[in-house]
Amino acid sequence: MVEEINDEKFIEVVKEGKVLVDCYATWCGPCRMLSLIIDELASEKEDYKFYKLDVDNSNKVTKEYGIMSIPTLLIFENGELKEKVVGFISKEELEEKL
Amino acid sequence: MYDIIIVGAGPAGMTAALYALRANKKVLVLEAKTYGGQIIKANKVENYPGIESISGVDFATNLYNQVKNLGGEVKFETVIRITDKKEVITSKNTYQAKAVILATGADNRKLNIEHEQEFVGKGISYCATCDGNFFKDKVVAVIGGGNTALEDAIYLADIASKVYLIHRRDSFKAEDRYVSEAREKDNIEFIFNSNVSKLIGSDQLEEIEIKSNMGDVKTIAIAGLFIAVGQEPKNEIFADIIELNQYGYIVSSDGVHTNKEGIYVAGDCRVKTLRQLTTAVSDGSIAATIAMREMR
Repeated sequence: MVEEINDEKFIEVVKEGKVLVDCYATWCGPCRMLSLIIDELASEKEDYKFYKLDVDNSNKVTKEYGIMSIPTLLIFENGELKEKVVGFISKEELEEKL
Repeated sequence: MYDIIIVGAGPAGMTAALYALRANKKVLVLEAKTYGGQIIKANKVENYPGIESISGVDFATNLYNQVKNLGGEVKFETVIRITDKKEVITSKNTYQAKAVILATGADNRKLNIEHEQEFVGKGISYCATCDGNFFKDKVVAVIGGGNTALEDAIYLADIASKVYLIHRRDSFKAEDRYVSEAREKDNIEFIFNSNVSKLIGSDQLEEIEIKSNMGDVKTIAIAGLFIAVGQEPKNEIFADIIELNQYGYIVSSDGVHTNKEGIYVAGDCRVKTLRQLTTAVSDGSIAATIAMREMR
């Protein structure tokens, strides 16, 4: 299972290494579909750390990263935002980005 | 060699798979993105006979599990081309089948105006139930005149401070019950006979320019624009051998056969009058049944 994080935990986990944060909400259909792909990738890819963030409980991150559409994936490398992926993306496409 | 290869794992494609699997056929479903198609965007499905209410994702997942549990193969690969010898070529492999069913569905139609792509996720959305909550107490606009546009406006009226509903005609194509519900919301303002002609903003969408059919132009400040102007198919990759109409939908005289022997069509991707979950699954079951009957 991919670990669930909140605003406070977010700051800590993105600091180091390669990190992907899946910003979702419980009421969003495409988010649930993307989460299935994130679960799969999390068990396959060892060079990345994967987290889930519920936008309804994480106003700070949502605001800071200008999230206005979900699902949104935030991809970090050593604390620096490398890419922001808005909307559903296939496993194939996401693997290429990582 | 497969008996049937189905392109697209939406309700039409997965229903076709279900019927073929229950007849003990060897079936492969190819899907570029994820199973479920457009129905996963539906917060609630309440017009499917026999099911009072279910989320689109749950419906799709149930159907997917049904296919998997019957031994159906579903591969997430993008189809690039098919041949009239019933070969299906993906970005990774080439597969051969006795029959092919095209069930590629449809996607949100774009407005096709400048900066539309750049503002996706920065004020432009094609899914009110997904993104509506980001516009709490803000001013938003919906463009379109069908059921989806009206549903979106009604949904957003409870979240946003104000909703402009922009439509290019003077009356709606949507069902009356949606129209009267929208009229009851006092924070929905109707703008008829008009189109969105310009998207304005630096980092994110800030204003839209609205042009009326008479040529009048006005600019309104909004935080979000929800585009609900219908669907468009994605059948270009088949155009070399399959007949499409001027809008890109697959032409079929009986709703099952294409112009190529052994290649069939099902669901939203074909020319048809009503694109609904019920008609998609109907198409899928008929296409599989006919394909099996004509298989050699």
